[in-house]
Amino acid sequence: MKLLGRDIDGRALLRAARERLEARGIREEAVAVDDGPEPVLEPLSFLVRSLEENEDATVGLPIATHRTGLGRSVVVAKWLFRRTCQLFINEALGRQRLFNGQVRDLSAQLAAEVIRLRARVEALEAEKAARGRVPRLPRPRSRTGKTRR
Amino acid sequence: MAVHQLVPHFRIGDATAQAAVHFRALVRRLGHWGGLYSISQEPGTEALVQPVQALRVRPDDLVLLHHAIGSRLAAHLLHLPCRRGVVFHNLSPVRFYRGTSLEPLLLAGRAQLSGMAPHVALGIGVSEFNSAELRRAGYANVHTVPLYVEPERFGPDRADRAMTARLSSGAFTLVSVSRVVPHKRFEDLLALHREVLRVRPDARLLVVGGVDRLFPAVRALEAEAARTPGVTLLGRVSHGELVAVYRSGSVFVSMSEHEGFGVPLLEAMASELPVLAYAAAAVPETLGGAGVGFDEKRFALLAEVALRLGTDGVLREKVLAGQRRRLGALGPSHSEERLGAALESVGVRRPPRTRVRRRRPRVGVVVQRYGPEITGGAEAHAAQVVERLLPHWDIRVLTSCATDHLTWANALPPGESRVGEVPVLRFPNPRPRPMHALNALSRQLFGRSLDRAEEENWMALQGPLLPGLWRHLEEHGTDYDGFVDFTYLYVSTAWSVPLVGDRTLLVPTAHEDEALAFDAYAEVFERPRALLVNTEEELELIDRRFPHHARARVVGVGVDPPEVRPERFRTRFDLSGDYLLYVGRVERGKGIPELLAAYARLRTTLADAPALVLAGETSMDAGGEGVRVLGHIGEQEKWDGLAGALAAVVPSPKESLSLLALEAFGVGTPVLGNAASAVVLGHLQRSRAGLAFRDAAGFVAGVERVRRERTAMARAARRHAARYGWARVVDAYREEMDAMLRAG
Repeated sequence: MKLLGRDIDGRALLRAARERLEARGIREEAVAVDDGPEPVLEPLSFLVRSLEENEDATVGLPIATHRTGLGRSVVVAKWLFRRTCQLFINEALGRQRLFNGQVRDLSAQLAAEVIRLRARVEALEAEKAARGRVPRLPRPRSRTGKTRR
Repeated sequence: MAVHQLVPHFRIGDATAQAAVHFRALVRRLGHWGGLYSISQEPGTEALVQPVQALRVRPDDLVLLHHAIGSRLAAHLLHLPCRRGVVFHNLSPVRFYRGTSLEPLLLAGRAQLSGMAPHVALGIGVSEFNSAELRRAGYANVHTVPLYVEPERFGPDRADRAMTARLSSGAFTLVSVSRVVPHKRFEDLLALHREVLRVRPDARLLVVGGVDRLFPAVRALEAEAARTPGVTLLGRVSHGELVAVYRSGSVFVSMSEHEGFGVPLLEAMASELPVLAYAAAAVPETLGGAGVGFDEKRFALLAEVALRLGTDGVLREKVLAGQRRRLGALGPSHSEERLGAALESVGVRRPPRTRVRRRRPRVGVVVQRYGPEITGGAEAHAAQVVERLLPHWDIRVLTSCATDHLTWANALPPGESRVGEVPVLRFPNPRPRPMHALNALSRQLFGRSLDRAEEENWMALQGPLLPGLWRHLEEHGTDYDGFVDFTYLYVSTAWSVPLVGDRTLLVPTAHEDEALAFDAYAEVFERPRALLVNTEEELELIDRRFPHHARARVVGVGVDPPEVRPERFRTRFDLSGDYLLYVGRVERGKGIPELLAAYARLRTTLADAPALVLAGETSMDAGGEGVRVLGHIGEQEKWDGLAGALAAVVPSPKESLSLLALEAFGVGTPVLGNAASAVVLGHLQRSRAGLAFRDAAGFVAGVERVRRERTAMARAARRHAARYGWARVVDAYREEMDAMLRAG
């Protein structure tokens, strides 16, 4: 363990603290801390996955409440409501479920296309950088099938 | 080019809301204006923050999204047809929130962060730690603009007295300020506190911040805290209470395992409390070598270190000295410089000033209302100054469309017009002032120590809100050689001064007022080129309140009475016998209820009591035996009326000049003034042309004495008024403007 700070003698401060602990007969281990960096999320893929996870509007979110004491009975009320009314929830949200599925498929299709096109653009830009000039597109052809000059 | 800001949810006291308010203050100092917008907001902040649907942008505007959680504002930002940027406050690590309702929002926030990267011109990290994350997420143009605190708001004088008394104890006290949520590691605070208890059984742990009971682990910890001796969860507290908690502590402790910046670390430093913090994420950067950081959690060892830090006077003073240095380095000026560089990188810069020598300087006069129908003191003062300076300057009055000072309702058409010979440019106020809400907020805030967001919220509610004026100053400010701004109190001036500060002469018209205690007004007094004050008393007041104010000069106004015919006034209003005259707004804040009470006493004391005549815009029930309420009267009628009065009455306890007293002196009429006003008292003591009263008995005695000594008092009044000539006043304004133009 290190103590950090410009205005302290960290080692001396720590040594003195350790000596006092030893005098009290205490030895301790450091608590493990997981402090790795959070991953960067690719937004298109993430959102498509989220759509898949949340497409079924008839499935409730985890039941929770910030209330305390008697207020926590709302958790039971919510659970009871779901148990007894799921049939009607399914009925009311049937079309929403269908619609969400279609949005999911559409988004997946579009996201895949965007990812493919991005990769293609990157490849073309890399090719351009390597050649030092713009890749030439095929010349448009005239209606007679002859190449235009 | 405005710089607007988006905040998903605006609540005073929240870190992102505070940051947005601080950023806006910096944006103004950098010469730009901009609004705050949110999806949802705390009730009562509607004047300060508008719904995001109300945001209208121009292509060269910049919109900054404060990003700290997934929100639909990310999608909204991407489709705004202007320049876009993200202010990244960081997101809590998902690993602490698996399986909770926060997990999808945090994941969405992370995805949105990288999703916005290709579509924004600017990424701002509030710490280098956050900036590094922005770069990893694909942001190309990244700048670091650290958050800051205003140290004066954490002084011992700002601590709430009741909370200080409640917490006063000789016990060793650990203080922690953060919401009780999983990644802040409240359990580690408890573990540390238990170790401290082994050595100091009377030790305390004070925790400020909301407890998020949505998380089962937090609920369990709350129960555990209740069982642990010496632990107090204070929940959300007011700013004054927060300062009291900091100042009641021995050591500030942070066990948090993720901080995007860590504002409480700076708050503790400002409150002269040694900091002991786990060196997670941006914490080492924010500490910058100050305080004491640690890289492992060994609670028994840390308890010994905390005890030493809190009780060893020499060590404590060394640490506090380092913290003061760090606080100085991370001040508003530093953030202003960094934000300026960030804005400049996307082409948001002040328009260049072209220095043209003109025969007549082009001057903008900023005042909250302007027009012949306006009877307010500061507005009449501004109008008189404008008319006298018109032969010397190329003046344009920049003002609201309001005639009613209570609602600021748009009564006059916006745009260019003329009042007599004076060109006027009017800007509409998008939101009438709800007086009941302002009064309620004033009762709630006055006399308490506040943070900047609370003060700016009050100022916005006070109004008048003139976004058109601020955009005009930003875009066309350089077309003017200088500005003269009237009345510090209203945002028409308070938020204009920072935009064009060094080219402004401010006529503050300051008097003892609760709002003058707001630190947010400091820059209004500190940034102008010079202050032109009305009286020595006003200057003393400003010296006391804002010791670093700009150079100030006592200028006042001139009094040049026209030819008067008192009988004309008597005939017009059917008055016979003696009368006392008040001219001005007939409203509670002007001391009218107290005057009516004193007058009622006079009626019972004197059989031949003079009548009481009240003239001016009337917004209260001011009837009573012997009282005449005339409503608005003309300029000549005012002079005729004053000349014929037994005495003029100045009942207001808050005056910065008391034009009424000077005008009464000008026509040889004595004055009965409220002794609570230092300015009125000063006039009366210097002139010997009237009497000051403190209560009804004093008022009655004053009337009797004025009756006996009116002739002598009238002579003294004229002598005193002779000192106030317009030529001297006009010279003073011209000298100050010329000096400003020469300085460039």
